[in-house]
Amino acid sequence: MDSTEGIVLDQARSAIEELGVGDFVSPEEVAKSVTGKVTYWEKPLPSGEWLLLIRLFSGAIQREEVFLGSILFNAFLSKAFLRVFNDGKLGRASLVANDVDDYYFLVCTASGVEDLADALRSEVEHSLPDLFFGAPDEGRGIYGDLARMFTFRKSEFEPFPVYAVPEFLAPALEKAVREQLRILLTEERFPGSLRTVLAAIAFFYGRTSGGSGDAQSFPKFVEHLATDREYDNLLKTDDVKRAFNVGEVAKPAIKESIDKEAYSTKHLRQLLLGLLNGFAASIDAGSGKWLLPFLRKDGKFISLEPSEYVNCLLGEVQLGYYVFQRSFNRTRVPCRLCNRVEAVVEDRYVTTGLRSFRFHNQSVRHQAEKVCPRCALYSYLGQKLLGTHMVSVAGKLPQVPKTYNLIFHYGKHTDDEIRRLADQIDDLWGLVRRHEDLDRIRREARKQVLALSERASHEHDSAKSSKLAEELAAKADELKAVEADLENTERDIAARYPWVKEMGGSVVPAENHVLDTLANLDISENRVERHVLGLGISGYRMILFVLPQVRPPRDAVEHDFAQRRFSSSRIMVTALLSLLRELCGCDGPFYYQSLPVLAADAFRRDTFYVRNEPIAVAKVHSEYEVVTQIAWKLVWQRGSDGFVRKVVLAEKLLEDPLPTFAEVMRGSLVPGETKRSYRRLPGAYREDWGTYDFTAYAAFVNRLSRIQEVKDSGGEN
Amino acid sequence: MAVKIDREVIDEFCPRLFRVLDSLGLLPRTLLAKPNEFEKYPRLLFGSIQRYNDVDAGFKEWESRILREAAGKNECYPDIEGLRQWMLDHSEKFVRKANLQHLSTSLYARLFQYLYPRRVLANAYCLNHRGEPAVLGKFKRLVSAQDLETRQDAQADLEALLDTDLLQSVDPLVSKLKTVYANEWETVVDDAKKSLIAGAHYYCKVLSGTEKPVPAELEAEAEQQAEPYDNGKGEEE
Repeated sequence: MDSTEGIVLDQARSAIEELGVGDFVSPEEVAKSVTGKVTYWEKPLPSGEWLLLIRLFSGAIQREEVFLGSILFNAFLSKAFLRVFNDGKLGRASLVANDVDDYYFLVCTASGVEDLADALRSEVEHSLPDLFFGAPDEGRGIYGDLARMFTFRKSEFEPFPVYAVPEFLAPALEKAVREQLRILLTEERFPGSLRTVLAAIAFFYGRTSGGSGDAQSFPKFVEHLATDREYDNLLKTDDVKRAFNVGEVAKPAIKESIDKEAYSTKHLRQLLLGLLNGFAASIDAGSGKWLLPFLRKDGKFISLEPSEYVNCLLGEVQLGYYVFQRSFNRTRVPCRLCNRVEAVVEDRYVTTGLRSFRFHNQSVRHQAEKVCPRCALYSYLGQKLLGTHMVSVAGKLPQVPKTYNLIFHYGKHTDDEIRRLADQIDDLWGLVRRHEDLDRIRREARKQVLALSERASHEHDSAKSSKLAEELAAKADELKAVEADLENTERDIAARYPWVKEMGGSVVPAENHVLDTLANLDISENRVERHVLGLGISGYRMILFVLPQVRPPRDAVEHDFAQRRFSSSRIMVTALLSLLRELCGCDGPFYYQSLPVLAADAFRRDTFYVRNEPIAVAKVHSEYEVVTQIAWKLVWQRGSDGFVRKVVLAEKLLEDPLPTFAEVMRGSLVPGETKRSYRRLPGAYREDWGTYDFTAYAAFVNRLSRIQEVKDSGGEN
Repeated sequence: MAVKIDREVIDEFCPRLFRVLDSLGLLPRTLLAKPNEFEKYPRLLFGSIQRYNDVDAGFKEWESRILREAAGKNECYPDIEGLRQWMLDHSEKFVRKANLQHLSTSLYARLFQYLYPRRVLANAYCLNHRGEPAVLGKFKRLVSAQDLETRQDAQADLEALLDTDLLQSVDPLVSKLKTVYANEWETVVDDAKKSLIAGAHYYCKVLSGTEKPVPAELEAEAEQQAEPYDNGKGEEE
């Protein structure tokens, strides 16, 4: 059972067993239909029902801005379809298999496909508030958490993708925002999230924009709330003065108080809680005055009726032979991302990322709307999972969606195993980060020890000299302790993940390409950027790894400087895939910048698919690991700058092994050179040989010769 | 797209060429020599062939140049002629620009790979027997031989000693090396013997202690390199 057919056959058997229809259809027939991309068939059952094989098709949009969201939406759709059968009125259904676009179900039902489609439409419409603002629930296809979108600290640029939200969900949004604010206003959270709270209150409840507007300036909003009659006197002047420690209620004074942190945290928290209660009382009483006033007035929401909006989301989705229709005004330029649906959403950094406001076809037609509601939702779902961050663009600091690396995998993993997989990534990442921190401390301590020794050697005053000696001894002890901690961390890595050394030649993260890749991923301490999602139901299912991108060097002009080099390097991508493969411990295929497809002979086990090119795992071990081990031993620079250099060297070594290594030897081995471009490989002077021990170089030349041999004999994929 | 090269021919050619050059004493005795000292004579050969776009003409020009500069030219002439013949048999490969380009760029790595185990074996043998009259005497005899007959006799005597003694005395010292060069170990040992004989003048000095294989100041320079990441550039804060 090496191929697609084997895997689908396994799954078909389970689905048939679950529905108890083994007498009427064989697993082989179902598997053949799935791999043959059959859309629909039906068979009568003795009970009067029909056994249907239905394909639910929703094409994923392969644009970075929306790809993750479209996958999440497809998973949501598949689970919504299964929920249609929850009450048993429409029959029973079981998921057979799925890839990114297609979900195949076996259904026992007395209803027609049109009825099932209607039920799906209703279920989607009913679940929209949860999809947008609900807590994560993988069973319902709801991923991510609204809390991850509340990390912004400014409201000058839209910090929240309100442009992706339909207007009929504005009350639900306000309720969810209020809930988030209450969480952030708890005594423990408030000091750390004060800026977010202030920006969120101004953005969501501000009434005006522009020069004297308050939606972009919290101090101005406070001034209005305390002094402007139109603002219902929701804040009392004395309370404001006490909270901000100011003599007068005016924007400059309040701003200064916030900037200089002169406010009273306790009183400010009480003031904001009171303000929130004021908004809530007005809204709950049915008034729309404080219901996201400026956002609604400015028309930031998508103004479509619920049914129109759902039609827009489901447009071109296919359920068996039934195609959900979409309406499209042909006189307008379609969405710049999917090119299928009418664009009704304006370009904004927080919705469409850093590539917003560039030249697009819509610009020629003076059409401000560039994105369709469906792509806007996809972007929103991606942000709900990964969050947003502030990025510098032409001197401005807009909030943009976080970028990611997506890796697909087919494997037999239960929900618990998937959770364990995520924990293992965290654990390994934690060890790597700990090693990095300790290494930094060690280098600093070494420098200090050297400096102190130098000073001590030149000091003639005995009192000062003895004081320096004491300091030196203390620093030396500190150095020893850090070195011991480092050794322990390396021992922990080797003990918990023994394959790491075999794969990368070392357990020191800076010298091991696999660990260094992990160390250079832009994961934050709370690890919201890392996710392992099981997209199928059970059995041999599709797993999605969402990992952050490689962080750029400090002085990089382009934000994706390191990521681009990483993603265009087969060697590095397969290194990351090898790491995930070892962690999950199965032989299923992995995909990077490739889409898994359920078709005959579409994939094999023990294979990585990188940009649709199949690469055998054995090849990765035999060839790629040699060049990466060399590159990681020879390049001395650290951080993401060093990472890029290592990637470039590894690629060059693979492309042209011996000439590149000759160049490396010139920059590493030749004595008397003051500026070495590479580290010298370890090898002490051997008195008995009368020379340095350069066996490491010889061993690498031998291994590279073998790679050259394979390449020249045409053994390369 | 990568240009295809005739790797098998190149892989066979390189040791042949290096062996001839080593027997003529035209390759550095120390592994810490500058790359151009290693590459000088092979590069001259490739340059001559490229200039004439003809292997025979290029080889002859190169041959006259190295014979002017080499020691022991008479004994080595058959080897040079053998190399010329072999190159003529594969002449179409040596006028291909891609092959010559690859040879030029990979030369340092290939030369290092060839010389490293041979030099280590020869050095280790001499250092292991430093000051031993029995061994030193045989080397001195070969070096001081005036006529051909005495020389041949002394060479045979030294060969016999090396056949029995070389591996036996250095085997435990070079086990690490043996692992890396396992596939060609016998050839390496044979070449090391030939190198010891061809470089008898130099190794005589090593055996007597007047020549140190590595100058002292290079040891210090190399030790400084032992500490990795000593330059803060590129490090993450």
